[in-house]
Amino acid sequence: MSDELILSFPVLKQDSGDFLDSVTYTANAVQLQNNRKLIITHTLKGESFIAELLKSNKAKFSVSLFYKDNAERQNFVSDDYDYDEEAQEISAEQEINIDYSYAPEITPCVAITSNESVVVNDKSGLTSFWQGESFDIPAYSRLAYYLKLKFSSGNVSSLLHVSCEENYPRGAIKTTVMPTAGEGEQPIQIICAQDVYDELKKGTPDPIDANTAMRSSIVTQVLCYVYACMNSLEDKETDIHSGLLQHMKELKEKTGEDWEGDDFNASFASTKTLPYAINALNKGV
Amino acid sequence: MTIYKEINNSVWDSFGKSLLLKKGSEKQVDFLQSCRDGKDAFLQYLDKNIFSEKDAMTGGKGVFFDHKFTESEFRFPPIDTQQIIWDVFQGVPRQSMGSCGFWGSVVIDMIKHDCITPDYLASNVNGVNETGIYMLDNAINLDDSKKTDDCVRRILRSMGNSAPRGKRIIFNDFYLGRAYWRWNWSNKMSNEISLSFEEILNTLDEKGYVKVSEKMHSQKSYISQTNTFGGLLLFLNKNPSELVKNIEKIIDNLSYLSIWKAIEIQSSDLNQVEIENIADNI
Repeated sequence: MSDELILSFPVLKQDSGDFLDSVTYTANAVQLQNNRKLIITHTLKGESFIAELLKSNKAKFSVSLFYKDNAERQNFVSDDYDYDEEAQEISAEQEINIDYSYAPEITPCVAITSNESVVVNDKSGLTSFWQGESFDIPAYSRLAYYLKLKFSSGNVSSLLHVSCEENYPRGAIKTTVMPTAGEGEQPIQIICAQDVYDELKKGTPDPIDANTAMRSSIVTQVLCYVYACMNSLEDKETDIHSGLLQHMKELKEKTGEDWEGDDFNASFASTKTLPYAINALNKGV
Repeated sequence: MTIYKEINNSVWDSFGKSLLLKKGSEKQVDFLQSCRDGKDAFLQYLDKNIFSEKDAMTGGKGVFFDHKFTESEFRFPPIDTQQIIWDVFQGVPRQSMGSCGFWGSVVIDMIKHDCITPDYLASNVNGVNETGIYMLDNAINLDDSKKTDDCVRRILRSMGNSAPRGKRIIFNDFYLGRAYWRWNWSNKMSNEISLSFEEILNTLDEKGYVKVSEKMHSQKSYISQTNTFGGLLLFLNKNPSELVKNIEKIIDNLSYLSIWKAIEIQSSDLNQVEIENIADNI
């Protein structure tokens, strides 16, 4: 629904098509001080009516933080900016303390703070479609979006937490999945015997010989369990860890195996994602 | 930030899920029987099935009640009990208050210190006399797998375990959590808008809180923005009947509006006007 909105004014976002290629809005987030502080950097490049509104303080960079576990949202508006005339670049940096031990989802935008009318000219940063037009923008409209920033990707290694249980028999491994783990936490817990732990600590590069093939197959087995758990969830949308959800979306995109479907087969999906490296295994050490 | 002790959330969730694997299973009946047999049996069961796991508990400060609850008071805390709950938890960081493992640890400590008895957890006192003992006896003896499963789920919910409904349970279903979070919102918002703590508590009555909170912890968490929620409370204070009638539609429309309009930076007063417009057009 969100992408289908038709507004009477142009909004700067990826692939919107209204702005010239030289006009871009990006945001970046970095965690500092044991992850207790966030530095958000907004950058608007190129000449545009949005740049003019920012320079005249009629628009602001803003960021929303979402702490998923508590459904807590916080909002921070930047009152300051730097303007580099030569590079035609407006930037702002926000330093924000994090109230939780996990990272929030971060949604940056540029919003206008008063009702404004814009008459398009060659400095408006818009494509020829808009030339000669004029439009009104209601106060508090979002003028530019950037993608939601998250600190956990769908990459398997970023989702795994491996720990050793010395009492486990050699070669034993226990996997648990916490689909609703908080952002910044690792939702897949692997508890394993010392020998498996030592092996996994060596990392799992692309299998090239019997050793690396063995390590890779341990992760295949873990994924098989994870996929079966995810497929059996009654509610496959609410509260799911963003990294895990991203991984499951990528699984569908890359292998065609739909983890939400009734005929989903976890072993087939996991071996398609990380196939048993039989050739590498037969190469020996 | 003070660290409070809590059950490892992964262990806590796995414990609940293992109990829900099969309706009417022997495992479910054993769990219910331990609950029926009283404090020592129940704590032994939990020791064996949760705390024998490595790192099942993370260390930290404990939270204790100096108050013995009655069964109905635990199930539906009246206003003076809500005050007790608020006083006990007011200083605890929000992160802990949003953790199922933290609440699980609190409830187990309440049993250990005789603030409640385990059978309270099964209570369905809801205008009818379905006490915990009555519910447990029915669930154990009637050979009805659905009743057994329902009772296990009710106990897990009463302990803040995420297995039956996910993490949102501690904001909606779990009695102590619901009382705390309702007061927390009233306290926070009374510092943001022109309504007093008591006015917000009244506006956000038990039923109203559940409706709003369900939305907050689903896909409509957008309303938890201070200015957005402020506007909603101002509107509901003026139009209390809307809480029952149209609140869900209003929240849906508000979320839709937030896609293009940064209502999170618009003042609560302006958001009230925005919400009035939405309500007029429903």
